[in-house]
Amino acid sequence: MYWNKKIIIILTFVICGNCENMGIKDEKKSNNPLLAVGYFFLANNKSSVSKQDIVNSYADIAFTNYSDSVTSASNLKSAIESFIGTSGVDITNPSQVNMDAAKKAWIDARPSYLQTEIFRFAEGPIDEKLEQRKPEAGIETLINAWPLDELFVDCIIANTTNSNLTEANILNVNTSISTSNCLSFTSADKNITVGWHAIEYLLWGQDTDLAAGGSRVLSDFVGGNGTIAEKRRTYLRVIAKLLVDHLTLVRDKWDPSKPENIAISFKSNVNASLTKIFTGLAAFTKSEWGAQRLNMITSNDQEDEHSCFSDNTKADFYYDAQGFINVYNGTYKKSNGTIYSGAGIKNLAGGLDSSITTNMSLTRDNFCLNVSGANMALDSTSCASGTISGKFDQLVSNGTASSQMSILKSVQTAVITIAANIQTVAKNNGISFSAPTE
Amino acid sequence: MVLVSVHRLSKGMKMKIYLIGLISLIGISCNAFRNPQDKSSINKLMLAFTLSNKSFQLDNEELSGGDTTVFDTTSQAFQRSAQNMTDVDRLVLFARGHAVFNVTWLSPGNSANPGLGPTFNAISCNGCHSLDGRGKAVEGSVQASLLYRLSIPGIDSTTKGPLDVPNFGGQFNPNAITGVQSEGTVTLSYAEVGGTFPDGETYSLRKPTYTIALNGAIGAQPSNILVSPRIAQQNYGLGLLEAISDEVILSYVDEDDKNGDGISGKANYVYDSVDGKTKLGRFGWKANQPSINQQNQAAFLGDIGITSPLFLSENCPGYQASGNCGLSANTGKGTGQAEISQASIDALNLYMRTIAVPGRRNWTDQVVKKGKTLMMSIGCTSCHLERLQTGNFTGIVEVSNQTIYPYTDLLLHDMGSELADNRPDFLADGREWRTAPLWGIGLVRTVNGHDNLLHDGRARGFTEAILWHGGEAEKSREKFKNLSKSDRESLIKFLESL
Repeated sequence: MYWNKKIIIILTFVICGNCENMGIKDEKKSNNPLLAVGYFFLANNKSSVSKQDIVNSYADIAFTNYSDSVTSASNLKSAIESFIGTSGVDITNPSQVNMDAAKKAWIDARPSYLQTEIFRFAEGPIDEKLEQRKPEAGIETLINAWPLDELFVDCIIANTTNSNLTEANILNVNTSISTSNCLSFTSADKNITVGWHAIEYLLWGQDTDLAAGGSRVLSDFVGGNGTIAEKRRTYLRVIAKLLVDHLTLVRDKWDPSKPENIAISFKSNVNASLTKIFTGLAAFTKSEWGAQRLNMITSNDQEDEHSCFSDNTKADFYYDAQGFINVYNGTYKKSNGTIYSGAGIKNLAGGLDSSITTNMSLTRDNFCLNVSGANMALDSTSCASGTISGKFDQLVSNGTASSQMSILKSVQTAVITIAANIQTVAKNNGISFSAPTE
Repeated sequence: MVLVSVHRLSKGMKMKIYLIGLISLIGISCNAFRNPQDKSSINKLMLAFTLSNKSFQLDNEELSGGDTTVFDTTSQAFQRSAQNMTDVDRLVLFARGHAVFNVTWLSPGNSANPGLGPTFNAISCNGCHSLDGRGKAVEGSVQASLLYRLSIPGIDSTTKGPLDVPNFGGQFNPNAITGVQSEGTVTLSYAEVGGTFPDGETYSLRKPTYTIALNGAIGAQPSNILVSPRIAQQNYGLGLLEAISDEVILSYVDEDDKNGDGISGKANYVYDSVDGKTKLGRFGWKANQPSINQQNQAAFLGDIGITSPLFLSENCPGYQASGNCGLSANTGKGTGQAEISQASIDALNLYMRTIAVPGRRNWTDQVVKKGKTLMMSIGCTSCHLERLQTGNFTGIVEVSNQTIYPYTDLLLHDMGSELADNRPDFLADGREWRTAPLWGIGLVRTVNGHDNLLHDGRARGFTEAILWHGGEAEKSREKFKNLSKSDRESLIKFLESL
């Protein structure tokens, strides 16, 4: 027994003595060079702007931005009704001019929505579940889910009657309107029937080539009672209205004048709200913007792009970056051109500010917005050198070695650097924080 | 040479050098303890700990995954990059792998991410390993994260593994893309079976029944079909387990129980599809996969129906080849092209190999420490080995040369008739299962909202999981049952701290 004890003591001693050599560090003592800069400036981030100001500005920008998005989505709904009529006055023989106008309205409505994406993952209104949807899904899934299963949408339209295409039925995809032909699998992710990309698919159609956007033709919407065109019109009308309804739900939660608002309590719980803000920023940068949206870098899949039907993906990246810039700087340019100017994360960033500012500008400005018109052709906008000037699907199909792809890779590096910096900023400011991902 | 200059070094450095000398000496003794023939020595050692009332606490044991360990107690705890992954280029690769993990796959014919099916279990990795976590067993017919391996008696001539069921293959796929027949239906039901601890406390276990009805339109269900239910496991720490050398794992093998401690420890040797050779198996419930690379690509094919560079042919056995595969061919990738690129597989492999292991909570708590001592003293750690050392993993510096606390030996053990699936899998017989790693397991409830444990998720929490242990673990289980209620609770507190 005595012998055994001695061995134990020596063993314990050896294990302890060895720890230093093993280089084990706790989380606080990271050797990350990105983090080290932050620690250095920790003492210097005193600022006249308070955390309260930052939380206030975040909530104000959210409300203003979602308000703009509701307005632009309403414009889209109006343009779609001009194209195919209302439920009372159906247009059986719609025009190309109005179809093009509806497509333009979709393109025009995207920037304000894309800027709101930065408010995701922060336990805010956009992350809530909506019970009307079966299977239950987050409201964001109903607004902007991707990728869209086009064949599922086509199958529903083909296999049901026009009168069955009601709001409730389109939302409740598991029972009323889907048939065994369409649905073999219960999944909120797969059974996407509504939102921006469903509308995009209805307007542009499937995109399988590099020449232009999707292959939808006007005649897909032309036809009287009992035709598939009639059902397509009904479906598009319903999902255009649902988009406005769902965005309105989110906006109203940020509207301090509405009884259901969360804005007032959000502003009064500064520390909890700041944690939510950082959690959201880190998740969106690290997991969504910096990862999922850039999956094409490894997949090399030509249509692995967020707005694949319209070919509008460069705008997705541009305005997602703008959304980050808004929250970071605490500023927002409203649709009517006026500028909101408040406090942002910038005021807490200390020595990391210049890295974040440089990188966030790069993530936006590397995308040259030169795709326009109803069929999203490249226009003559001159693009600065070093920016992505070609169409997005062409960039992907050109493969991983192309110079345009290397620009995209540099964007990913910048976003992931921002994600790491944001985590450090949170830590430096004593904000209880753990970087979540989707 | 070093010793010559000892007098010129600082006191601390001198101490270190002396320690190196000591380590060399002790190393010999340690190796003796690792040898299964000397397991009795380990038992003596443990007895010594108990009698001397010392704690089993090891320095840094809270760093379950060594330098990769991250302390996060939120629902995101299983998705963090290794703590020692700090270079932004590595973080970018990690992010790319995470994106692949989350991709939603769609039916062929869609514009984006086509290739799902023709038959499948899920449409994304995350669909079963939710938040890189553990699947849940659900009574009824919807089995989101529980899959079923199928076979008939016999051995495959190429792989030496299980023999596929004609027309259905080696895995049951209850879902199918539009226009394709699914492979059938399955129903899970539970019967409560009561029991009593010696101290009078009662418990109830749920005994599962699986009813599989294969689709007769595809083929007949063989009367001798073998079915093995398996739940999705957590994904962290896999690179560390892969970085443990074969030699270290094999040093714990005691297949014929030569040391007479009742614990065997058997290595599974499995087919490596990369080079067609036989390799030590270390992943999966029966250690039937030799590498993360193969595990990932096999899961893409078997679970989602995505062809990959390693498995280029769709999963369309027998009858299904005529109809199902035709419908899944239109992926826009061309004949002989994988539906997922090598670059995406590379990114996913890196991701799966470098997810941080969650660090411990409350490891200095007196109750937790007592629970650990009890766990060791009743013999659980004969298989759930506390501490292992990883070797060099070329290209994955984060997981190389780490001291880790995984609580597994990665070997097969007879777990008794109650847990048996009676379906052989390479060298694993119908009663044998791989020792499940226990690191991070206390956070499953936080991440996945449940505490379903064991290979098919039948156990509701740690106590039930222990009570299901039979075979080689029966003695330990009985010792657990005979502990006082407060000691049992201490042991569970320890498991919750992992």
